[in-house]
Amino acid sequence: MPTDSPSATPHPIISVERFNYAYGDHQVLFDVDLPIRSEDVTAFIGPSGCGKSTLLRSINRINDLVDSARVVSGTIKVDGVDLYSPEVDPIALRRQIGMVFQKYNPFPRSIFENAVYGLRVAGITDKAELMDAAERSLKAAALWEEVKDRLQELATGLSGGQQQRLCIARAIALQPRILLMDEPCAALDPIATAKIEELILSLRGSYTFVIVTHNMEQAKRIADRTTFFYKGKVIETGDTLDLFTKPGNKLTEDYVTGRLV
Amino acid sequence: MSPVSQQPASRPLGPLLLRKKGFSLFGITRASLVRRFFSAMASVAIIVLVLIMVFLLRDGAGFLSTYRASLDVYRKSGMELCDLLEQPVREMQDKSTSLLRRALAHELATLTGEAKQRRDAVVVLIGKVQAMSAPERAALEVVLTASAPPETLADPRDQLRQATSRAAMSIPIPSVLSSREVEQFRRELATLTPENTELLPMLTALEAEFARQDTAARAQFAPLSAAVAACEQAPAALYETLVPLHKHARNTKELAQKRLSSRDQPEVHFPDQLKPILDARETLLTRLDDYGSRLKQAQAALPAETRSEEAAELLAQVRELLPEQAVQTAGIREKVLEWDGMHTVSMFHAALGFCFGPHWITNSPWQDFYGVVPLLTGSVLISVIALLIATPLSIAAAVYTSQFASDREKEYIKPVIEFIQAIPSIVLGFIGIALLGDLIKSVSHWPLLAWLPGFPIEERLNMFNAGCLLALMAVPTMFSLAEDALNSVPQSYAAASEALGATKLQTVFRVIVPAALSGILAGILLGLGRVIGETMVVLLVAGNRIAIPDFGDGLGVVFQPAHTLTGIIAQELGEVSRGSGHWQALFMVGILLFIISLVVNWCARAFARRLETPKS
Ligand SMILES: Nc1ncnc2c1ncn2[C@@H]1O[C@H](COP(=O)(O)OP(=O)(O)OP(=O)(O)O)[C@@H](O)[C@H]1O
Ligand SMILES: [Mg+2]
Repeated sequence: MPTDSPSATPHPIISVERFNYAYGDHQVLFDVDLPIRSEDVTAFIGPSGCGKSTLLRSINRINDLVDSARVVSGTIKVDGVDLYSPEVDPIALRRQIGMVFQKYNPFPRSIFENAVYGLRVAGITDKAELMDAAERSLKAAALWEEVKDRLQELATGLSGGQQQRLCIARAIALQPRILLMDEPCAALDPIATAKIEELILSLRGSYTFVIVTHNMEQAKRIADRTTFFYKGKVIETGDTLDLFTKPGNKLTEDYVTGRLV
Repeated sequence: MSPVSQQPASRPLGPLLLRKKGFSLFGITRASLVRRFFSAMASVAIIVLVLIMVFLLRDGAGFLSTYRASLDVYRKSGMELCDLLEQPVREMQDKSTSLLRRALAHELATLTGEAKQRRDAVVVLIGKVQAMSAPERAALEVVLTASAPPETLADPRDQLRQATSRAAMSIPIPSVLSSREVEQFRRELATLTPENTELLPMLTALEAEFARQDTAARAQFAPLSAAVAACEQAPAALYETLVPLHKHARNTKELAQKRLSSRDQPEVHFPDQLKPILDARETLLTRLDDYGSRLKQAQAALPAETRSEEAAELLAQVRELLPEQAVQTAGIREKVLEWDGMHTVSMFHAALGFCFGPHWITNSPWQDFYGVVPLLTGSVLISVIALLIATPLSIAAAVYTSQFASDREKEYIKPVIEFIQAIPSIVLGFIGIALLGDLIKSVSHWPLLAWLPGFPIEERLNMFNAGCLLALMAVPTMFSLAEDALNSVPQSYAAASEALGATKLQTVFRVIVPAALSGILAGILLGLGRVIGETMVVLLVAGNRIAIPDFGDGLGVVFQPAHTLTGIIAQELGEVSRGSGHWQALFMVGILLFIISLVVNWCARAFARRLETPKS
């Protein structure tokens, strides 16, 4: 029983409607209804295995890589377009909806090549243009100062936090409208985590962020809106502050107070 | 905190920390026994490897000194001097005379071409007609061999005659024969029976006509014929002078060998033995100069004009070649003068002779040479061919299987490719001899493919054939390793790439294959190791010609036969006497192979180690 009705949302850029999703015969999302507002930072919280990643990965259709994954029913619309309709080109879609993974995963190539990978596969070969884009995105990811003299070095030689910021830079080099992040700080220490959070806050407003996190404090610090998932269902969604201070549901309350695991 | 039972805390902790008494042998515990057992097993492998090396070295080590001694006798007996003169002259000779002979043949063909064509046409026709009436002929022969009464012969003979004339009537006849001749030909053909195998009168006449024209033509081309003869005869005097020297030198060598095998024999005093040869050096040099001037004469005698274009071209080549050869002659002269028969052959010289010697000659009545270059080039060329074929094949298969194939496809692609490994190499050898050789040869004779280098080919057994089969043997190794390497690329790379808007193909070729590159290279190198070490297939299929391939053919070189390092050991080791120079030489070849394999494997491991930290 969501506390916020979809109609109250000013402008949902993503709207998930009665979405059911399964891996083979194992259904993991049940009737998910969720509007995600443009230019907001939305956090997904919930216990392990409740389907947060699955929903996130359905939004850029990266779950198409999983053979058994399938939509059972329902839709995800982005700016009114049903993502799973045959007219949608998943490649074009992913250029507009970037993704950052839980475990930082830069390619075993140079920092520069990582930063411009998305542009290269989009067919851009102009050296100056690529260099520009690399600089712009690395600056946006607050990494430029640290790597500007070693762009040709192997990306895997960077620290974990730097690698994760490189992955963010790589995603924003394509200038997407939406950025999906699946526990982007889970593999990082507190200082690196703080840097990423700072980065998200500095980018807020230019992108629509959807972030999965297990860290309540993090959700409170960075998210405008928070959605609580439980066993494949959306239990509650609302302004972050409201959700944590006056949860409308017993489950939510138990979870945010640490009594539910 | 949940309540904790008091029980464990009441027990003293100290004794629990002490080592328990258990099984032990001479104070060695079970755990360390097991560890020692495994380490012993591991060291067995290392010990065996060391033993192999020691064994190879023991038999190979004597080689250099044996070979040095043999080359020393070769030098001090004067054989080296003879070869120094004779071999280059023979080589030059072969080159120039073959060009001249070909030129003459072209010239003659301009006059006798038609006569030759007519004769050849008739020969071919007879062959065809006989083939067409083969069943009837066979039937008649059966009756004949059964020595049946003459009256029963009439019928089969009649049938043969009919079959022959039917064939003669139906066969298309080339236009070089006039219609009268055709009629005559058909009439005469009918007389052919198994008992009557005489030449057709017509063929005899054509032969005679050709011979008459040929003689006439030769007279017409007298200048060229004379030049050919002059060239052929140019070194005759030189060769003649060499004959007694050869005999003497070989005699010296025999004496030296006798002395070597038993101490009772008198010691050979080389300077005395060499004297007659050194004395003849002046004569030899005059003969050599004589040869040079004869070449010049032959050059001057070359006719300025030719009837055929081909001959003109060949003669132009000869005109260029002969002055070059005159220069070469001067070089030979210098070498002969410099030659010092008493200068002892060094170990280094023997080692150079092994590593860079262009001849592998064994059981020669003259002198054995153990130069490894012809074998090495054979091995390397075959391996390169095999790699060039196997690499794209196995990598493409691996990329497809690991990235694109459905689970069901994987289920049969992998076992099938890996099954190739189970084919015994001798069976592949059969295939090479019985199937692939003929196939390649007949394909090479398609006129459409004549533009390919080396086509059409003459040898069924050649390096390309062997390379194809070895490629087949290398594919499973290369495929398995490449597939493993591709599969071990983290799934997260693919996800990251596709999340950035890359297509599946882009992901595979820009991310996954580069990340797996070192593993793929390691696979290629291990495949190479397998190819270099393979013996049976090359022995059966490579053609076993011990000579450095003629690279003048360009890429066509791959269709020449060759011998290999492995093949030579397999072929010769069984026939040589233990411990002889030849035996030791084969062991040296073994050591060389061993070193090559070690290096290749070491490189493969180096690449495999880089798997964890691939570079961009
Ligand atoms: N590739 C897959 N194939 C089959 N089942 C999967 C796959 N990925 C996830 N699942 C299942 O789907 C359910 C939801 O998984 P999901 O990863 O979305 O959970 P999550 O909320 O992200 O959990 P966590 O917080 O641990 O990351 C789980 O029961 C999981 O076992
Ligand atoms: Mg997850």
